Amino acid sequence: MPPRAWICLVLLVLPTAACGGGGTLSTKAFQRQAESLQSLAAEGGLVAQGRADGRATGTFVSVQTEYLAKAAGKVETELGAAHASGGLEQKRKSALRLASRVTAELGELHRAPDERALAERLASDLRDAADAAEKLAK
Amino acid sequence: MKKIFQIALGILAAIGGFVDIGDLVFNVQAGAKFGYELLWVVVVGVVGIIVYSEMCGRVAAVSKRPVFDAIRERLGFGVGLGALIASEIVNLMTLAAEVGGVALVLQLLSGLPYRVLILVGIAGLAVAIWVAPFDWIERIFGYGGLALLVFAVGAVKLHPDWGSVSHGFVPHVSSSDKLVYAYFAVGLLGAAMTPYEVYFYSSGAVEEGWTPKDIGLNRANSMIGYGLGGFLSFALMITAGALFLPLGIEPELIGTVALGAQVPLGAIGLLLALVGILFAVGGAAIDTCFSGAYNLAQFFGWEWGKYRRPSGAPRFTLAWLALLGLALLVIMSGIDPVLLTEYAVIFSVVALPLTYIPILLVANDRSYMGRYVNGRLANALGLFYLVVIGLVALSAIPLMILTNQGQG
Amino acid sequence: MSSPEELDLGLGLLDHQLVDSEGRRCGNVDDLELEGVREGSPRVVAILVGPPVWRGRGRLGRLAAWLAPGQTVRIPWEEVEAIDSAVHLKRTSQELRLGRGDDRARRWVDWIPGS
Repeated sequence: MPPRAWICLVLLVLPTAACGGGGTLSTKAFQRQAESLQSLAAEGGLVAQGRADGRATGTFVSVQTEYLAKAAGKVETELGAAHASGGLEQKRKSALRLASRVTAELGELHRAPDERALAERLASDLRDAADAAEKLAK
Repeated sequence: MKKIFQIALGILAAIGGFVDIGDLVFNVQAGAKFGYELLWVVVVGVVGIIVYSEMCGRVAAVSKRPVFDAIRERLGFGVGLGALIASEIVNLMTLAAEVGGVALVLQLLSGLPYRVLILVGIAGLAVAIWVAPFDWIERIFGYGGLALLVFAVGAVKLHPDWGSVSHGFVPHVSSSDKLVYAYFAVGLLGAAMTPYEVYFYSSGAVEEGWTPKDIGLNRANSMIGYGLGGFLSFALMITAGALFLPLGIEPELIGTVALGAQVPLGAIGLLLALVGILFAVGGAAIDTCFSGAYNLAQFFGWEWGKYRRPSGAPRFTLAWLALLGLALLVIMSGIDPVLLTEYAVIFSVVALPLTYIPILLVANDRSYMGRYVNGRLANALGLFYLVVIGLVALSAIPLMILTNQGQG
Repeated sequence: MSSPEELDLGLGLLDHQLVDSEGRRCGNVDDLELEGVREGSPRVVAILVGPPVWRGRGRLGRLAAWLAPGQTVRIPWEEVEAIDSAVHLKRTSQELRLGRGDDRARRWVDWIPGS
């Protein structure tokens, strides 16, 4: 390849490499993250409601929320490491805040699976978070 | 009268045995993504496994040869060895996934650490196989798996739109996300037509000394057993379609499957679901493990048999112990059992023609089968499924890559 | 239409299970030793069993022969009692020196209690 072509190639590759971490977020990738977040929050809501109604065992709630929290934490990390442009960047920031909130609430539920009142509040919060994530995904 | 009782027992044990971790994962994921639209594919898969296993059972009863004997004879040593290697790789992946599934369920029940429970699970399975007579094992795991019927009750209680459900039984192509739909169709067929179940069935037939007289009874037994297994698959998909799809929940955890019974039926539903999954997946692990050992022993001409004392079939015994050991290493590496299940089902679909074609050939060989050779119906179905299996085997890996394992 | 005396060697004999006089499974027919092929009247003289024999059975066969321990056992055709779905032999596997892999493996399995 002629030297000019090499320079062009390097100039194209460098900016993306320099971004580090997550790289540029595409609309599709963001949508996927938002959908995952919706899924995790919605499921967290079901689990929390089950506990609040006394219809799910504490062990199940504790173990399941640990896995859900871990997955939500992963979404949070990936959203945090990525960056977007324009309107998508706004959405990414909202989603990141939402992901932090969901991760924290799932963590709360994991640490205190036996408190029914807490579970009731978390269930309602997580359902709201799921709705918010659904709006972001659209 | 006693015969009817025996048949009933056999069927009951069989229902629990025909749902494994692949069915749990794919049926629930398909329901959460496409609602009831893929129910017809489950029917195609169930009929397919009945056709395949009926042929293997008939071959076993007439020729006294189990599947891998026939494969070596028809494909020759070289190609047959390739089929064996492919089968063993898939068996190992499936076994590791099932052991992981057992550990996850034990964790959801006990709260103990996952890694510890992997060891507990493997040790439990090994001890059970070593110590208990095989009919006990089949009965215990079979009846335990019956607890999965809770999903049928739960599905009804979730009040699905029965109109949409019945529409799902009519073959059609989804209007949206065609590639992802195709991926799940392939996965559902792969999960329904698990080859290890067929190897296990035919080896059992030979070991129990089936004769042509037994063909009719066992044909009925397998049809009802697999049919009811299909019924459980419907229940799983309908549950997911009614509960998870509206909420946008994408099941990636075994616990999510159990949630499908907890929401409509409370703590009792949850516990029955977990127990059912534990026994169904545990039983499947034993079947897979033995199936892997059967294939090796049959290909190389060693002694084999699930009713034998370990020292009566030493290489066979060492083979299934080695498989459990390898599965332990695979699952201890930290790979997610649900992800491993998805890979195992897709790869098993790719390898399926290698073991289906020889059986279809043998079942058509009059010098082998005498008057029990494939009739017109058996051949029509056999050829239809040959085409289905061929298409599915070719498209499985491309679809998996293109759809990023169903995530679109 | 084949007469009862003829036997399709490929399908009816090769790769079939060997069963000794006590009903014990002791290997497969890995290859056949033929005579009279050039004269146009081939006869089976012996059955060959064992990993080294796999070398003649394709590329994977060569790989398997290289990996597997064991020696070739030659069973003269006179030792065959009957052929149905399996090849039944007149003597025990012990006498014919077959199934030794299982004997070797048994020593390991016997270590475990309850076998």
